Amino acid sequence: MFKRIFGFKSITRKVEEKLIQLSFIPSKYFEALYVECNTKIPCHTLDILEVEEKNVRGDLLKLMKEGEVDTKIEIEKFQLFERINAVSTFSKEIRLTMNKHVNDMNKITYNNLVKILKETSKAGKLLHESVRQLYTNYDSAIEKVKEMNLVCNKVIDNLFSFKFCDEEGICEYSFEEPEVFIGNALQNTLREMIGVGEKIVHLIKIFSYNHKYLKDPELLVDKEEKSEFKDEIQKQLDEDIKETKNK
Amino acid sequence: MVNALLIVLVIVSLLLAFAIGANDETFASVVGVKRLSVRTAVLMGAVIALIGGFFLSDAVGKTLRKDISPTLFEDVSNQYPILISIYVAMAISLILASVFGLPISSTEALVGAILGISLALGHKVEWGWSGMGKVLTIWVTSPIIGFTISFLIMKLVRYILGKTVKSLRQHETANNLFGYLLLAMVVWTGLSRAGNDINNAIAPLMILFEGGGGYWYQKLPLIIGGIGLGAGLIIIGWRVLKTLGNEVVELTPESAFVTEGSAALVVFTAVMTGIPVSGTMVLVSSFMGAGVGMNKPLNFKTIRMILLFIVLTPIISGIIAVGCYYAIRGFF
Repeated sequence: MFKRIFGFKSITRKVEEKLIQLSFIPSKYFEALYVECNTKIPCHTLDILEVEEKNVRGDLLKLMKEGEVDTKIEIEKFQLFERINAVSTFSKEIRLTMNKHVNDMNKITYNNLVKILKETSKAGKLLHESVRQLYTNYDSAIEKVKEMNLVCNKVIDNLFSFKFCDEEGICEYSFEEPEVFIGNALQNTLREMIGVGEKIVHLIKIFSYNHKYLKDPELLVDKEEKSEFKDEIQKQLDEDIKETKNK
Repeated sequence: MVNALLIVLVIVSLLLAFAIGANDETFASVVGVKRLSVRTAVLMGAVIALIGGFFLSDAVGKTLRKDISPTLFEDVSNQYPILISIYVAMAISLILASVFGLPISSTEALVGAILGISLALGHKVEWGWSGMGKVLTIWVTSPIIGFTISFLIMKLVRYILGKTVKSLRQHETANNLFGYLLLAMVVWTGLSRAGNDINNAIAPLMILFEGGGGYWYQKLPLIIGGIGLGAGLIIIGWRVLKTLGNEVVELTPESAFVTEGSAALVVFTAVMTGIPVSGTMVLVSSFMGAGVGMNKPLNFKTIRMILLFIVLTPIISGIIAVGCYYAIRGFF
């Protein structure tokens, strides 16, 4: 009884600490992955980060179980945790694919991918900042989410141009190409990062008592808009595949 | 024969208190926001029921026994059929309300039964301010007061939180603070409602214990009511708390605090002034006030049904009590 009454605060603080710690891992991971891919020397930091991610995830699950996830705020925080977790999961996939196909790619394509890794690391840093600011200042958190979305969308754009054109500018597309696998994994990671941003905005919208967050048109990214964006991407992809086939 | 009947009435009274306790939703909000576990809430509720029933219920009991119809319970020759009829009417009204899944008001059922029998037997009914006038006025005004207080406090709380809460950490701190305040409010509500609800089960019985014996003998019905209410909470009430607290009620600590606080304020004032108020109705109106204060839409269909039952419960209870009285009086 006393633990429930008086231990409530300490559990929420620990969950906060661990969530912020977990959100910092993708940024560090991409930085280390950039170093590993750039130098082609195995980077042990990545292994350490994988263990750290596993531990933090375990601790968070244990803490959330202690606090019994059944109130609205805890459910939302758990969903935020799941989204951050998804970013880490896709990040690991990139490392595996990069290592597997390092010798199958031409140098320029590989270097382009490495540059994109650096950009992704920047997006990861902004992701961490957004989660940290969520706990300290809603206004700053929204600003950081906007910045992160810009970086993510820019990287996704670069990824598209890189994915469909070779060094001579000829557009070709094959699902068998290693860069397509890596590109898709990177794209998934970035989409998950955008997903974390959406969750943060959603959390602010439902838990802030200030109506300005509900009225801000930039925050009102509704489902229709999102699906339009997805349709556009799908349309572009279909057209490219069609063109490749015709050639 | 008389002693056997007295034992039967004590058992019926105990069962009624048990039923009221089993339906007590006072602690649901505090379970809902996870400030207490179901087990702790039930045990705490039982202790509070005993304390509240013992110390706070006498004023309400006096109104129910003497102020509505001063001569009804003085009719010694008819005492047992009258008491049995009142209990039967209350039980049937409570069951009927439960069948429709509507908030039960045992107070309305009891007052309706006393009033019905008084009118049927030609006993004088005190319609003035000292009797029914006060009761009816409070029945009409208490939900309005509960709604208004809850609405205004909710608006104020949200205004203050809107100005002060700027991050999730502050939001969680505010939640924590409101959790403690809610716990205090729920204890207060529990005490007030126990004072009010126990009387619904034991008020008719009190008349049989008046005058004779010592202090503890006269207080025996209050102890019986407290034990019944507490036992109802422990044996069956935990299911209600579990359902409302964990599955149905989606409350935030601040809205739960505002709802419980407003209800406690109204019920406590009523209990201290000896007015039998419907705790359930006040709580429902406080819920609605807090909902409107949070800009949430109201379900007018449900509100219409609740209002209909507020009007119908005492009428139905009164008719049943009269019917029951004429059916059983030949046996006494």
